[in-house]
Amino acid sequence: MGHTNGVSSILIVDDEDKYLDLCRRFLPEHRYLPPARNFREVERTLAEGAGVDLVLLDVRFDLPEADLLPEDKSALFEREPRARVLERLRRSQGLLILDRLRARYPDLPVIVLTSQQDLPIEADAERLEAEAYTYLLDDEYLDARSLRLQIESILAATRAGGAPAAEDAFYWGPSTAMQALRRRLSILARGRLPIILQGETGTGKSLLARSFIHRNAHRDGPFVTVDLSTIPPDLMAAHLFGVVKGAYTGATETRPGVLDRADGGVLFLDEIGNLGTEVQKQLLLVLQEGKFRPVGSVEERRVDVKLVVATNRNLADLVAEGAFREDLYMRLNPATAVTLPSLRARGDDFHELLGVFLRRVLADPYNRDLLEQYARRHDLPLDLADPAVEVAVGRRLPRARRSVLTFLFHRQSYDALVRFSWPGNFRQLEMFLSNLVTLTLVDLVEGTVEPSPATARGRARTDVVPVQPRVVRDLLRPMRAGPRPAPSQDGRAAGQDRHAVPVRIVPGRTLHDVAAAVERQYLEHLYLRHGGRLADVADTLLGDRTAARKVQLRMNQLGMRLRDLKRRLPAEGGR
Amino acid sequence: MGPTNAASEDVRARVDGLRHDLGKYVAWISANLPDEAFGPPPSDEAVAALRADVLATRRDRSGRPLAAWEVYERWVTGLGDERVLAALAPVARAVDTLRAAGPALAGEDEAALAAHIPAIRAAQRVIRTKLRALSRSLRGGAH
Repeated sequence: MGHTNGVSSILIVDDEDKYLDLCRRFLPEHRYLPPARNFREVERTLAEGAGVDLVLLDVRFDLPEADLLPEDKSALFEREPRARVLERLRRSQGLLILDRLRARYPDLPVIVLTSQQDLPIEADAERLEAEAYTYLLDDEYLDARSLRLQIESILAATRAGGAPAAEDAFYWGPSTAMQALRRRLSILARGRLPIILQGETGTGKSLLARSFIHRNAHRDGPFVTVDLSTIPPDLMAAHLFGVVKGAYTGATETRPGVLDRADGGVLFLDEIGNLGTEVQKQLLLVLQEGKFRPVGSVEERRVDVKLVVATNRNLADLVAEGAFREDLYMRLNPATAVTLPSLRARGDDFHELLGVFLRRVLADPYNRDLLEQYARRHDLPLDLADPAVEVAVGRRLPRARRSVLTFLFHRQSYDALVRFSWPGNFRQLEMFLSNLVTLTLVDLVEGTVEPSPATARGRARTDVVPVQPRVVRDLLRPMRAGPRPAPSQDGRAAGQDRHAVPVRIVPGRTLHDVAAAVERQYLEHLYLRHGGRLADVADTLLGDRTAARKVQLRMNQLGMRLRDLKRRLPAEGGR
Repeated sequence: MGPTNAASEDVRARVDGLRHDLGKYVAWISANLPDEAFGPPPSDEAVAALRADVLATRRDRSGRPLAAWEVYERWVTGLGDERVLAALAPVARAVDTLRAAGPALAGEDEAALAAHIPAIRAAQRVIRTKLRALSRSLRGGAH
């Protein structure tokens, strides 16, 4: 977040300095970043991590054609004369910029500054007002006092709601897919319906619920989380709904449940697949009527919670197996279920992720202490509270900036990290990097490793921390020997044996049910592993590529829907 | 019949541009200052605001400041609609007032500037209100 000591960083997007002049003169209490003249400059500023708290956006932009959105105007030119198209685009350019900002930075507060008369017809006020944090100044002239009030109220709401987009604890990264996911979740968070978060262990479901959904839900109540895998089945109802004194032996006092505590806020139920069937029925009542009954009570209580549930299992499968109520499943809003990608699936972001997590683990007290010793020894002007970190790979070093610490990875080390399966996903990466930073800095501080490679002029680059390949190897080795990952959403499970599949056993009513569940997992794994090619699956199972039809029939018998599985195939498929 | 009905889309766009570039920015900073700031004698802040608003109302794409009368000419030159030009007459007169005050605004003679300030502020008001009204009427009084 940009604001420190009450000073907020504001980015003005305007083709001239009119708003900047006015703001500097009448609202000097804020810090104004160099103004952006077009969307490219907006992106550049945001990508530099300048810590923008608020954007002030003009609507009319007198820009050359090349600077106007959309980049490709050919379709527009086919429909209308060029001059008219450009005039229209200039008149409404701010709204096109707003759309891009909404798509890529959905939490960034934006004030659209324009008079009612300047609003193009295609951008009706409703569209603007429908967006949170978009404000229309309905006056020809901008009253600096009213603008100050607008800005203060927005910044106050942002601060109260937690960290803003720029410092989201969950790392989204710049990829289009992740930004689309972010926007989708932002919209779902604002709505009334429950949200299902799916994804492997360690993909950040809990973090996302706490840091992102709760903030975007804009509810006054608290965020309350319950990991249902840690609660004994016979205590689950009392834990969730509360209990009245004397309800059962041992209920010596009336205790509220987590639903009471979460009233008005967000209730996050992790591992929802562990919810006992009796409790499922009671939770259904909460979703249907906003009511519940504490254990031992005859009176119903009203509750208003935004429910977020998470699972690393397929709830639809649990429904098919009879382990999860279908009516509850449908009430959980499965159509909008969000699947968080595994670390393996974020190969494109890996370089940036390394930097983000290195910075995060440097905040550990022990690592920070080591870093402080290192910085003091080499007189590096690092911001120890939040050090700037870069990642370099191979021999190519970035330009020397003594306030930025560069972790230099050997090419083979880096490739090994990219290729590693990371079954524990981001949590595992964070632990790995924490150890890596500790061991690396200890070596440097104790002088057992030379501080950095020398420059061409023979001077040491103390701002560069070389990561020893042996440290990477030593830390990866035990993790390779560890448990193999569960079948992933992207079908890229790793392991020594291509066909080995760790299966999750859920106690069933009959052995047949259990066997069917195991078979489903195995077939699903093979199907995803082979990129959806049933002939390959048949080849693996029966040594007969022409037996694909048999495999398909078996999958049908087991209630497996190929259409659903196909959606989970990665674009490159079948690795 | 006013200038409304017959005005082409091009004319409406020009008047809208004029309202935005001149009507909106001719008093952009100074409209936020209290009346007392304009004196006599005017405060330094008021003088700076008037200079910014009148002598650098907008900038062209190369960044060169455009005075209020240059902005006016930029939009009105080639505007062939006689009815609209007639409706713009009070604005043209107000712009002339600003042009006449230009040297005093740019100069260091405080007394000369102080003498022009009431006329400058009146011209700002005329430009603002007339352009807003004209723009509305060309849009069919939608606002």
